[in-house]
Amino acid sequence: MSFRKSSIIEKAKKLASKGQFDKAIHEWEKMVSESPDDGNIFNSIGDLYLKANQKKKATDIFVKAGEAFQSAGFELKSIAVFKKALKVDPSRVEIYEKLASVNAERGLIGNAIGDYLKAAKNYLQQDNFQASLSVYRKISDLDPENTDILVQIAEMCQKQDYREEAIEEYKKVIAIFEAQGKTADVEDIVEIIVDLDPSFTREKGSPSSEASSTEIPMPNEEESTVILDPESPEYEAIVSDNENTIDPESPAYEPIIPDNENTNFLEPESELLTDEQTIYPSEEPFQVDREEGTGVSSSEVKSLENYLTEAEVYCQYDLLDKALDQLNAASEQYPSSIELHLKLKEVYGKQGTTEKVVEECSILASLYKEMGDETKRQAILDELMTLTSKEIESDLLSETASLEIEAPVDVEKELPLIHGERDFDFANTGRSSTSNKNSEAALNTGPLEGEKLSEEFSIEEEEMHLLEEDLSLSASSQEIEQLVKTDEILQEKIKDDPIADDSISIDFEETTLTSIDFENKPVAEADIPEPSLGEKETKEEYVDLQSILSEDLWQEDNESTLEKAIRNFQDKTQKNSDTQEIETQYELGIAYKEMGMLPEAIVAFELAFQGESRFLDAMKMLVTCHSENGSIDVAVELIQKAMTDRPCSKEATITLKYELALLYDQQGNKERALFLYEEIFKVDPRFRDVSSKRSVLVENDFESSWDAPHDEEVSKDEIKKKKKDRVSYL
Amino acid sequence: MNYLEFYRLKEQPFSISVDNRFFYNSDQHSEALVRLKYAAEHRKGLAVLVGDVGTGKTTLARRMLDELDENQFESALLVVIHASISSHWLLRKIAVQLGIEDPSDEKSSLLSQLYDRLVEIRDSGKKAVVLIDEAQMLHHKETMEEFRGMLNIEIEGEKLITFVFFGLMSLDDTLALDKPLQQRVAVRYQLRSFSEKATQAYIKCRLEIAGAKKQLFADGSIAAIHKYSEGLPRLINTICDNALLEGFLVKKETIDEKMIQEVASDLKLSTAD
Repeated sequence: MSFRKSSIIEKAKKLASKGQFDKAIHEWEKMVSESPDDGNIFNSIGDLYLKANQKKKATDIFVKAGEAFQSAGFELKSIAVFKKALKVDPSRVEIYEKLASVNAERGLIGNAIGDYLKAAKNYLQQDNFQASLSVYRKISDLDPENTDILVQIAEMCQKQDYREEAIEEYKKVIAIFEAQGKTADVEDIVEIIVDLDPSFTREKGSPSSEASSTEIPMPNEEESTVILDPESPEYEAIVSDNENTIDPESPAYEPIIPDNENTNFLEPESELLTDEQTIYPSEEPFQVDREEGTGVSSSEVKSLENYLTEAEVYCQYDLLDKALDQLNAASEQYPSSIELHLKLKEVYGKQGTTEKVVEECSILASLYKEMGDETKRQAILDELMTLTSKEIESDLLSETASLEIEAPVDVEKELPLIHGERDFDFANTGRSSTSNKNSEAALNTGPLEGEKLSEEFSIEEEEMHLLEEDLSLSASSQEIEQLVKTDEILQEKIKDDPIADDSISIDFEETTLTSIDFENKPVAEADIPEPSLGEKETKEEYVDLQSILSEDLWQEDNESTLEKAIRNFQDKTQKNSDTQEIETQYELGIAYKEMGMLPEAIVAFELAFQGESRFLDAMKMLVTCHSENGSIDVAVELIQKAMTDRPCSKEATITLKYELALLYDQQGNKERALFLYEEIFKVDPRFRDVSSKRSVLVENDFESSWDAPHDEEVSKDEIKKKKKDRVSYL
Repeated sequence: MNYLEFYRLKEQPFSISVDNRFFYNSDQHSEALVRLKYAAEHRKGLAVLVGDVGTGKTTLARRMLDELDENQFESALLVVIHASISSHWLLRKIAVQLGIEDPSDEKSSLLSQLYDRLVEIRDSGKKAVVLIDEAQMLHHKETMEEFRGMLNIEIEGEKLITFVFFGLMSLDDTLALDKPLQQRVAVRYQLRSFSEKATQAYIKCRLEIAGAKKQLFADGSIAAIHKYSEGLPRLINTICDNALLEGFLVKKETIDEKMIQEVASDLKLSTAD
């Protein structure tokens, strides 16, 4: 630094100390002409304006300082000073954008997104849609391939009636989908654009403009329809020389055969290969005529295997709706196909449509029953029970789940509930007399040992039968829920240790099942009897799922879908933080500390503290920050926690002990400080100035003592206890 | 004044209770430890250490437990003190020691819990090791079958749990109750009694740890100690402890052969002669 500069700074400091802030600022400003890009000068001037309570000027100067630091490549200082500016005047929305931009430059994408979102929200609150759109576009630029965000931006523009802008965003989405080969998605977006602007036409040459029908998007597929020129090498490759039939063993089949466990339909004897793939060369190109939207040939009935194959391929590309189209079309022709219903169950499961999964489980249960396969039927029923007990949604409660099972329905079978006990008319249930007896005895009996109950009465099995019976009576889902809950309670009772006073009988209010409509009419919630429980049970055992789920499902969401998409992106970026991030946070902490922003510095150091590379340095800085903040107790706790919670190297332990000793010294706890100095001295007498610190305390007649359990002793005790716990006596 | 003060010892050098600080790493103990740790590290399934009474099996078990790094091993030591424990009880104990907080009363559920826990341990990068001391007391066939069952739990060819049995020579007979289990013994080691040289080194080691500044036992006494103890560490401890007491009572600074003979006679120890 030149002599002139240093003298100016000296003078400015003197004036500032006397409270002559304007004059001090004037001195600093003399240096601006010489170093117009020095952010430190602007920062100092800003501090003086702040002291002079001229907040607007302070903010403006801090912004200049931030821009200067950013231009000079001091991104972290730039971030620190922008934050300082926002602290002074949080209404300066444009500073959030600047801050976000620097964060993005530095690679702190998560922070950048957070700041951009704040700016965007502020603009929206000010009804400045264009400005907010500009910000959202900057967010999407951070992840140009993120179509979710682009679509959400487009939708937002649509809602605000900014058609041109919406179309612009949709075009970007189209470009991405085209690059990814997602032609079906491209079509969907084109449709949306056409709705907005009927005159919209896509550029010539792009595949989707020629497509008039949908098809399964195959990898590396260039054509939208399967048209094979008889003279083309591809055609020749799939037609064998000898017989002019397609050789089932030919590798040409492979691209259309998905990698599927259920490949039994690919056996040479299968329908697929014998019926469908015998092709004779003809003059006309071979073309699969596909009906739009369904992929089903309009001219012939497809085989089940075809449907399943196509559905499988759609699934592999996450086109579940189209897979379901295939499967539902198949179910019209093959309603009793177990394979089909298994596939439907799988796809509905992926889609998360529990209601449909339950339906499929019921259908499968009846189909297995017809086949006489009890094992599989049982497995399906187990699955059904799990689904109905865990994932009943309000949809199931409000409408009747249609369980049209092809089983004989005997509406005469009534299962009356009487007040006081659940009493089944076992005589008419068609069950074996032994099992009837067992169930009756079990349910009517008094306090029972859990184990005895399960051994003697086989409750588990009986309750399963009860559940099956109720299912077969086409009961509404509410009854299923009730019965499942009953089963659960009994199961719980069995598992519990025997409690002498507990009765396992469950009281129901006076309602019979005859009063419940078995003809698939929706039953109002109020009609469903709420079972009352035995003395020791509380009402809380019966959880009102409907009200809870309705809160969860229909709870008002304050965040828009665009913000959700952006937050998802933010979460992803933050999960990928690594060593570089630790370094950045540490340096940011230093920058904040230099700016006097201790709370921000602490946050940054706490993040840096998580990583191994800066653990010790960040710890030291945290201790310094807390000490400067006056929170020495917090600093002490921090070090103690670090020493006990983390495995430290010998050097790290000595350093931490030293820092702790300094804090104890500061706190006035000289005895503990001396204790630690002596411990350090024993291990390394030349560590920093431990020798002199120790001597000072000794000379002042302080005695090394530790009146509370020392960390080491505590940890040794804990270690001993832990070791002792590892030894057990049989 | 007691004999500790008389002989200027910090603590009793020949206590018969197991104390890892006094572990004497003789050649055979060292070798045994290496082999057993090898079995644990390489998930060999079953390792066995046998030896006569007083040869240091329990000490070795404790030593091994200490040496199994907690960052790498999920280890536990079960000491059988009653012969009539059931296999179900054993399983529960193993489950608790491996960290299952609420082991099921029902066996199939318990096994399921054990399996899950073992997989969890494996996935955390650790190896599950259970040391069983006095294993010869588990002389029920069904107990051996339980061990065999657990040793069948494997993932990708690796056993999820390793057992190390410590026991008397009759442990071999116990294992023979279940031939398949016996065949699964991957490592076996037998501890033998100390040689005279090892006895001398053992005594010297313990005295040093206890803070002795000089040799308290004359050369002739060492031979006698070896003779009467037959080289068994536990008996060595008993003889030496009593000898030091005798020496204190008669104010002898060094224990000689005669004193050892008297002590042996008092203890009714037969000689090899």
